[in-house]
Amino acid sequence: MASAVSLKHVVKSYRRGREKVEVLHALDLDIPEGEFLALMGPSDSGKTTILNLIGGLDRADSGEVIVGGENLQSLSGGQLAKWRTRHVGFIFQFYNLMPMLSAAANVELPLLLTNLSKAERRKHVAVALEMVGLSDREAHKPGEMSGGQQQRVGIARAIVADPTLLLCDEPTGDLDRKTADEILDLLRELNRHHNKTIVMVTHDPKAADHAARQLHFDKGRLTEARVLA
Amino acid sequence: MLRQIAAVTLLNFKSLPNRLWPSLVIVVGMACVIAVLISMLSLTTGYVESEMKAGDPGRAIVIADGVENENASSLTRDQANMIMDAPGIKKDADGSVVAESEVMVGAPVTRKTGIRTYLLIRGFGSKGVELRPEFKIIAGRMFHPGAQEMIIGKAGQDQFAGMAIGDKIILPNGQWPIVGVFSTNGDILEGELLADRDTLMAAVKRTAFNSVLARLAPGPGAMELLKNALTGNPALSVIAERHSTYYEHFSAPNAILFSAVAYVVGGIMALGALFGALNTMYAAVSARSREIATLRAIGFGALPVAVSVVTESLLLALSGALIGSAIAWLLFNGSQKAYFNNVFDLKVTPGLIGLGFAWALAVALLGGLLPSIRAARLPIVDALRAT
Amino acid sequence: MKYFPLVWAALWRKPTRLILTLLSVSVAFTLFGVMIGFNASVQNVIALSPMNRAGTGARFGGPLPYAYKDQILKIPGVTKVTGFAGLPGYYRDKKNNVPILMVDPDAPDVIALDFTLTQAQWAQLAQTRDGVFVSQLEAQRYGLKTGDQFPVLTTAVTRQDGGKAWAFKVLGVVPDSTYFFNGIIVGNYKFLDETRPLAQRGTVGGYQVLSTSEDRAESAAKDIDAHFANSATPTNTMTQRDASEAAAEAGINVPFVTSVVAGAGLFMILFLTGNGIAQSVRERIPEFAMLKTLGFSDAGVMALVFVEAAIPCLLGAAIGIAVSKLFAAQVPHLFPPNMPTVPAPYMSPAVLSLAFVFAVIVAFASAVIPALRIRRLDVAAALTGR
Repeated sequence: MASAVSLKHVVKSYRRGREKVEVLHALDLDIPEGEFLALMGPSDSGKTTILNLIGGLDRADSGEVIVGGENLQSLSGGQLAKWRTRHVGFIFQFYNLMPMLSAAANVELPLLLTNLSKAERRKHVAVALEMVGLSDREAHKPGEMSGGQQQRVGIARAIVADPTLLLCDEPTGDLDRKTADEILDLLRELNRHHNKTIVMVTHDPKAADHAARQLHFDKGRLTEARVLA
Repeated sequence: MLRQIAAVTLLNFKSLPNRLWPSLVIVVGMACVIAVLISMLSLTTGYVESEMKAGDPGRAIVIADGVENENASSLTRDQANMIMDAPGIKKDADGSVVAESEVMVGAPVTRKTGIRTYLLIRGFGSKGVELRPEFKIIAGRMFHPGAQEMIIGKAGQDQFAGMAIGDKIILPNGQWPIVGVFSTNGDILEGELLADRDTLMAAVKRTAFNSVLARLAPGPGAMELLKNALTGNPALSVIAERHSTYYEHFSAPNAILFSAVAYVVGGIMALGALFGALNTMYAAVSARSREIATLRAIGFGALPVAVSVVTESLLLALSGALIGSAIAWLLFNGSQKAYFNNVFDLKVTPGLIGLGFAWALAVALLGGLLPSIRAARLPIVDALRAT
Repeated sequence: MKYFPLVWAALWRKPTRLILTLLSVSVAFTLFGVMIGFNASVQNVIALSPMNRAGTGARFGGPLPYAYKDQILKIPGVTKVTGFAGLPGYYRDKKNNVPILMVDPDAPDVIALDFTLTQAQWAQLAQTRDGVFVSQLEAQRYGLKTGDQFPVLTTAVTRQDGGKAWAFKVLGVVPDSTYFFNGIIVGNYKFLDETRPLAQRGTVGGYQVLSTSEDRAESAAKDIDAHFANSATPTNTMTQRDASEAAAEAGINVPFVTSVVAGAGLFMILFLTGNGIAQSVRERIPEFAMLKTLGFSDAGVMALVFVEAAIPCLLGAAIGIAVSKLFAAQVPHLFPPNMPTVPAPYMSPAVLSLAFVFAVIVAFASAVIPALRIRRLDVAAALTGR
């Protein structure tokens, strides 16, 4: 199976105050297409940094970051932005929805960057909302929804442009157990039935159990791998 | 209560650096408003002051009825004599009245800026200097009576070209050299040339005077005596007033115009600043809602919290007013302005600065009031819970 | 634009802030409009005055002989000469000074440039000795219309018969002119001259002299004064340009004052709007980071910030200018008849364009720092709350 994501000898450090902290030390990582991967580890171990590199939000200091066959290091900022709309969907712990927009308008946001007509955009939004089971809430604002519903909107937004890769940063971190499970089931369904490659950063072992493979990161190093059937 | 207010206000100011830029909105806004207001009003103040200085209340001026000012007035010799015979005028030791008729002649002149305009030549009679205790020669000498000589006022010398001692003014009958410079306390007379009245009238073939000036007899009632005698005389159609009243009337329309414009402009700007202040204070309350709620939860009352908000607004506005006043004072106080024939200095008086501060306070009060009410009514529990 | 809902939602995040910003900008632009409009009207009065014209008066005050007219016509470069005199009168109340200019009806052309009378109306004035034409403002002030009697009184004796009353007839109401922005009444000089006391007959208050060009007007002015220098009544002739410059300088330096005031107002709100935008952007950093994750480019996000700044600025400017237009229309009515007055602000297309330009400048200046901050946004850091 082809690789969805391939990291080769990636080094990344950033400044904290006056110190320069090296987060990733010559990291190698390979994620096949269609995999549901969980990245676990203590806070600040570098998990989110990996996500940001894969999503083209950050640049490695050295090494290669190849996503969907595209070498991200060779793309300019503008090209990365365009690439992101089409190929990646982000899902955040605190949803990052726009509070003044309705659910439908929030989901529509990535499509504004495409050339689709208004009617076409509406169609895609409706499909996305249906996939997450929120068709009846499309006119509601985030303030009128529960945490779980808001995250569904976040997921709908992440998939509306039909990217092959979903990057989730603690997607269930702010939800109670039951709702978290619902979200994780939804993610698993997107992975199994729609063939989306999912990389999920989480500190919750129960959430990680929903993934097919788990990787542990500590101090920027891949320390343990566990594969579930 | 006061202690609570002081404590909360102090806390406000400790957190001010976090809200530096929004707070500067009030300071800058006030500075702009007050600077503009005071600068424009300094025009009025300077103008009125110079006009009022010219008006000695112990001196009366008589001009023809129905004209706008001394310049447009015309009195015959007979009329002038009748006026000077009227009661209420002071007499000298030798029995002559301390009064005289004066004439005003316009002459073309060029300002130092190159602009061509007119200035006034006033003809003094024998009592001209005696009528004016504020008059003094500060350079050169007084013109000799009967001679073709002139003296220029200090302000006139500053404003107009060709007014040095030795320069000549050209009249139909020849050249009139300037032989001296006079000062009259900075009043509008300093923008004029002075010459011997009769010689001047002969030179420009004038037969009528413009006005009669008289020193009022000592004691109350002299002005009324003079006024009644003159208005009661059917052969005369004149107005008699104290010189001070005359200048008040004369300068009033212009002063009102200047002031009106200043207040309208200042008012509009103040309105803009008010909205700015409201914005800032609402944002301040909003930014500190958790802090305010915590204080309330601890036990601070609603009123001290509200008062602290208004206090913050007031203090910010006052600093703005201070800056604005300083700008106005530095730029405009004492700068000379010529408004038509009137040459005067702009004056930024303590009164004006006080007015500026009052405006700033008013705007700050209004701007702080509504936000302070919001601060007082903040639902404590919600604010504590909010992220 | 498809991005409009996004911008609109962002604007309304804090309704109070938006409304107050809008109001503040409107007020600043009302001031701007009034100031710049006022300056434009003053410049307009100057600009519309014909530069090939000069005014001759007695050098040391007083009247000029009517006989000078023919002599002035002979000066090289002079094409037309109009004599005029003023009548210092009031209507009903001594406070109501009426500005009546008595113009030579045989040759009114040079002065006619400052009035709005048609050729036919000037002819009518020539035929009707006691007729006057009244400008719109004066007609409104005193309730006059065509055909009305218009009795004017003077305080001094101004008639040969010893009287002080002049009975004029209103021949018509004419539009106000730019030059006489506070209203004017024009009458027949011949009527004045044949009615006034004998000693004053045959004189005018001054002449307006037209030459072939502006340069000619300047040389003619010098020639006229030289011609009469040794006569009984020497003259002083000022070209239109001289007179305009003197008037501009003698009063207040209008361009300077209006620019400074308008500038102060704009500076004031620049602080406000700049602050509002900066605050708004700061509050929404995670949102902007999120937009970047969706694929919005740096330029795209910056554009959003600029549009967000521009909307209240442009809208506020439009409102402010509209209000200043309303105010401008009211100015002539704000001044009682005997007050020194100012011309009404002239809201020309140039003024409106200038307002638009400044609205854009204010929007740009307020948004530029926040926008640059967004551009340099460390998305990764923002998303992880660093």
